[in-house]
Amino acid sequence: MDDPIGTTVNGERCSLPGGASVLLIDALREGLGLLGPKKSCELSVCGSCTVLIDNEPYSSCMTLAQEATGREVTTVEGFGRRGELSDVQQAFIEAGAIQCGFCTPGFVTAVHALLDRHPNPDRATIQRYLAGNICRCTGYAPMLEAVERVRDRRLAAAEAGLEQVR
Amino acid sequence: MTGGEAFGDLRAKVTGAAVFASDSRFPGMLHGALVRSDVAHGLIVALDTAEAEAMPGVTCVLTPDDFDGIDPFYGELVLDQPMLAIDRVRYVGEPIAAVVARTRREAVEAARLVQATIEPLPPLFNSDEAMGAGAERLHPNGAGAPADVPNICRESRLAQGDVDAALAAAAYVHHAVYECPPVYHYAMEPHCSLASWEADGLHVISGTQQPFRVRDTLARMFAVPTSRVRVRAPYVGGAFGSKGEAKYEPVVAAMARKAGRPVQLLCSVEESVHTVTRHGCRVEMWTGLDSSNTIVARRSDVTFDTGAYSDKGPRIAHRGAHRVTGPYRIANYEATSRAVFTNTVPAGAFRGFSTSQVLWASESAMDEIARHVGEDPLEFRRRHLLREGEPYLGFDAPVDADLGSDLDEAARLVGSATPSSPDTGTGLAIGVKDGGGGAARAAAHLRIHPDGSVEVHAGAAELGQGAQRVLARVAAEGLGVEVSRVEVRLGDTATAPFDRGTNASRTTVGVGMAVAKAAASARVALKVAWLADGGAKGSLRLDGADLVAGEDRRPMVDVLARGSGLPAREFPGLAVTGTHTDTQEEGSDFFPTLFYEVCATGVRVHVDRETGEIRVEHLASVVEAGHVLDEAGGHGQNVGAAMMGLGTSLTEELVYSQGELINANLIEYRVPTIAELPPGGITSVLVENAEGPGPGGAKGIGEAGIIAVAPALANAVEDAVGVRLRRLPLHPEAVWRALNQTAGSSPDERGR
Amino acid sequence: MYLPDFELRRPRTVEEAVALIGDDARDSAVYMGGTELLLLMKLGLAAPEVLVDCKGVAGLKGLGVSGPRLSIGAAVTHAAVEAAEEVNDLFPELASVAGALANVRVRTAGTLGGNLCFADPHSDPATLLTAIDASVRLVGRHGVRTVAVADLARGPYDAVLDGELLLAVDAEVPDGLRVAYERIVLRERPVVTVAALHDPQHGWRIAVGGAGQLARRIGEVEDVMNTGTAELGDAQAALRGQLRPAEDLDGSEEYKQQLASVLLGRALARIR
Repeated sequence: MDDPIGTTVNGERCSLPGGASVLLIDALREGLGLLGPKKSCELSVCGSCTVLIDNEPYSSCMTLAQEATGREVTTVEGFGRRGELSDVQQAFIEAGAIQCGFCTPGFVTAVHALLDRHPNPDRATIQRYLAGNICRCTGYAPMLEAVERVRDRRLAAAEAGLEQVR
Repeated sequence: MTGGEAFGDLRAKVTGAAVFASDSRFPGMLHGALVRSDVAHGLIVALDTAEAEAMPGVTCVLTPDDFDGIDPFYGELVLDQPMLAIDRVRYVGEPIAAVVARTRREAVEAARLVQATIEPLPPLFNSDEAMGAGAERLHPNGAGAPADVPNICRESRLAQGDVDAALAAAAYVHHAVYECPPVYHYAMEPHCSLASWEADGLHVISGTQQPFRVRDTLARMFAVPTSRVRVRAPYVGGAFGSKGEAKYEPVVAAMARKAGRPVQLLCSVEESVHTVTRHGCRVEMWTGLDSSNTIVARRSDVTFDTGAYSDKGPRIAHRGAHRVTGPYRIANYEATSRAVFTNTVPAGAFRGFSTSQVLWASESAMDEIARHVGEDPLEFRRRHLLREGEPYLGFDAPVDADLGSDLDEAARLVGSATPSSPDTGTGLAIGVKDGGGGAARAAAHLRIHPDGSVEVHAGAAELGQGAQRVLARVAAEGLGVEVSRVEVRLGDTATAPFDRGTNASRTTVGVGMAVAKAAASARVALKVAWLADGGAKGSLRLDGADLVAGEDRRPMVDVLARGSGLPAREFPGLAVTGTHTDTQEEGSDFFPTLFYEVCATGVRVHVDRETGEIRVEHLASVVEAGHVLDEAGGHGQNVGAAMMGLGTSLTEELVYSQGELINANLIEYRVPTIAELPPGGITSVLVENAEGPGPGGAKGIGEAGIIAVAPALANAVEDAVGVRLRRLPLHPEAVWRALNQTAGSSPDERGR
Repeated sequence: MYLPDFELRRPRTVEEAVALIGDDARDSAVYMGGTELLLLMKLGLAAPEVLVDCKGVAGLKGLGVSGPRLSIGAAVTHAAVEAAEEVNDLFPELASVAGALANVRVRTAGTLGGNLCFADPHSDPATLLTAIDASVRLVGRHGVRTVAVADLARGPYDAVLDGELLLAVDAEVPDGLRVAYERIVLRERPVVTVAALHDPQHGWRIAVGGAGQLARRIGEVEDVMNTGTAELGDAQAALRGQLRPAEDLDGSEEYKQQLASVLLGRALARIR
């Protein structure tokens, strides 16, 4: 069965390969060639496959592709514009929050969602929100730093009456 | 580097553009899936592939019947592991056949339809059973093994003085047994390899730490010249030892050969766990003190459970004998270390390469002994620690660091011995590992293009440890150019000079020096050409495409071309090769150590007496870096290793039931999350004494931060609540039980 | 890992949904967030022919309060429970339990009702909702019935659903309610969960879950506490004989009994 699904991925209308049992991660990776979401635990524990659907984080490994019908999907490829990094991506680089890089797409995506929902998170909130994203390389301290940097920059920018840059 | 330079891998990784093996494709590629044994030990009496072969999308099923012209065996030191089990299976999860299909899903589904009939043999689930009288031999015994004890893969012994006499004469002998279970690396990217047979030979893309070793192994197994094998390691999604030597590259090459099409084999996490583990280990240790409470003798007996095939087990057991005694002045010591075959998943390299397991014993024992004699553990260690310049174990290279000051620093950072609140305590441990793994030889190609940009090729792999950035920095510093002008290309056997592999914290030191030497050679060549061209005297630098000395500025390509007689537009630039050979004598049993990886770990913990939970409040990791080439990368290695150490000490354990792993997934196997980050943080200190053998006196530091974490934690637990644990992980129930039973936990104090 | 093939149906009304779920000719499963169902399917533990996606069924997304009664529709996710003002006002402990469950992606997709229907002994909300005598409304071919959360499961991973769809979870939050919820997590899921409630009308209501067992009220402990003179130790002693936790990777039976006792003590100490 091959009914294409109308959906928006990273701002573009497209159709994902159909089939009821197709998982969103396979539709994105195999169907659209978006290789940012990674397959690791495949049990919705590690967060490497995190994508946003209507700005909320989902495990694309545990989500049917059909769930995206008529909705907006954002993968790591969707952050930043025309070669510019998003503030989260920039902060990950600055803080040294990237080593092997396999968890990075999911982590960056989750941090965008975190700061969207909690613009001024304290440490406990950050830890609770990101406890579902596993990184085996960095020891997490740099991720915490990266999130706090972006938080502080956005708050400072908002305070200065500037338009938030994302 | 303070961070912020978005060059190279970081930008690619943060945007999702970085390509890993699991993202790689060959044109026309098919997909593979392995059929695995569900029996721990048995004889394969029948293998029925008909149903699988009839499935839609299936191209073929590979079995040992397809091994014509292939030597199916591989292994780092002993060629005992077949790419698919031949007649006999030796562990649950061992590959026995391989399906190739149009899609991965079709391959995975068809693999379930392959029917294997396996007649069970008596399984050997642990090293005690395997060494028992009459146990069936899984393989012939290996080097150093006593002939009469079965299943010894390797046994090594290292001794000095008269341990028997010294222990017999000792005023006090501390005796205890320390155990740790097998654990899993959990590199985020599961094992993945691709193979394609092309007109110019076999192409392999693989998440591997050792592309050249894999190349050589494949050339031997498939009887083709190494020049016709190209192995490329793209970005590797973590390794930590799990992706060394050959893993799935041989079988995927055989699958592609049979299918006549390229094949990708991507493992699930469960399959990756069934590929290689860190050795479970048991250490029995006797330490004798004289009447002045000075250690006079130590005997260690170490047993590593190496699983069904040797993998890197022989070398790990061998190095264990070198590492177990510890960095102390002990006149009489004896260390026996063995790897034992069992019907479990093969164990192999893991960050630390045996050091974590044996230090767990020796650094726990140091605290126990200090407490017994009523001395502060730090002072007790200080009295026995080797001083800088003293030979390790009495014969090896002199210690190249001030170990005592590292311990002092760790102790200072986590607070004094006076606890801040009830049930809170601090613990220390120091680890020393011979680094570089006999780094021997490394090489790098360096080209300066006519436009003045620089390209470096080296055989190391980028596993996330930051080799690309470190090597770019070394090249940039050596040439005096901006680091953004340097592109480092790693892990491709077709373009890089030979490299033994990315392991043993050797890349910064070995390959780093090769790049430094290449840069130095290039500078000399530029200077010679400059002077021959009549350039001004004085300090010469490369500025964009120009060479500059004082006020004299000339296009580099003109300078070089005039010397060669070529027209400038055809001049290809400058190419040099840097090679670096260190002074180690390869081949000797315990060759002199190139440099010591040193880490002093301090932790402060709070123990919940009611539940036994250990809360790590602060961890300090003091690592001897020699010279820091990449600030963020260096601290990243240290903090990451320490966090991994918290996992392998507190929660991680692979659990077998009747030879079957029951927690080979991330729901049941718990690795640390950001929630377990100590509230006081992980303080990373990189000590720079410029005594390392790498560029600027750098050392490798990839492993140091993990090795001393476990004993530091156990020492802190005893400091906090007075109980001693001798088995990892430090499960809350074990703490709680120890708190609720005081009898039976004191060490046997008699000598042997 | 892949999912076995199935047919996906998307009913729009309760009647359509019940017709699909109750069709004995085909093995079907209600599919809401999929966090539990798809996991079981990936692990090969379930392979329904039809997944009945009820997220679009009218009336299941509601979350409302009427006096002391809180009603949460079957399609309401954990994240929505966590964020809902009504829940935070009336029963904030439920919001915080929903906000600490599993990980953020599971909370985004998974539903409270789905969590209860899977009868997972590691469920946080089941313990809290059992303590407060919450119930669920189920609809099937024979109409609607109400089942107490405590009776929803026959055993671990075995709910009493008989071709039925859960419509809503209902709880009555009495005046003067004090709540303490305690849990201990050693790996991915909680080992032991304890909920202690007190209000003037019902006195003490105490539920324990996890430890390989489904959440249930522990009357013996409630009786001891309701005497009004009990020490914490008395309550803990009363709990001892009531649990038969299964040994697993989290620990032995004895250790889990210890954990339950400790958590009970902490919960009671907080609100006594």
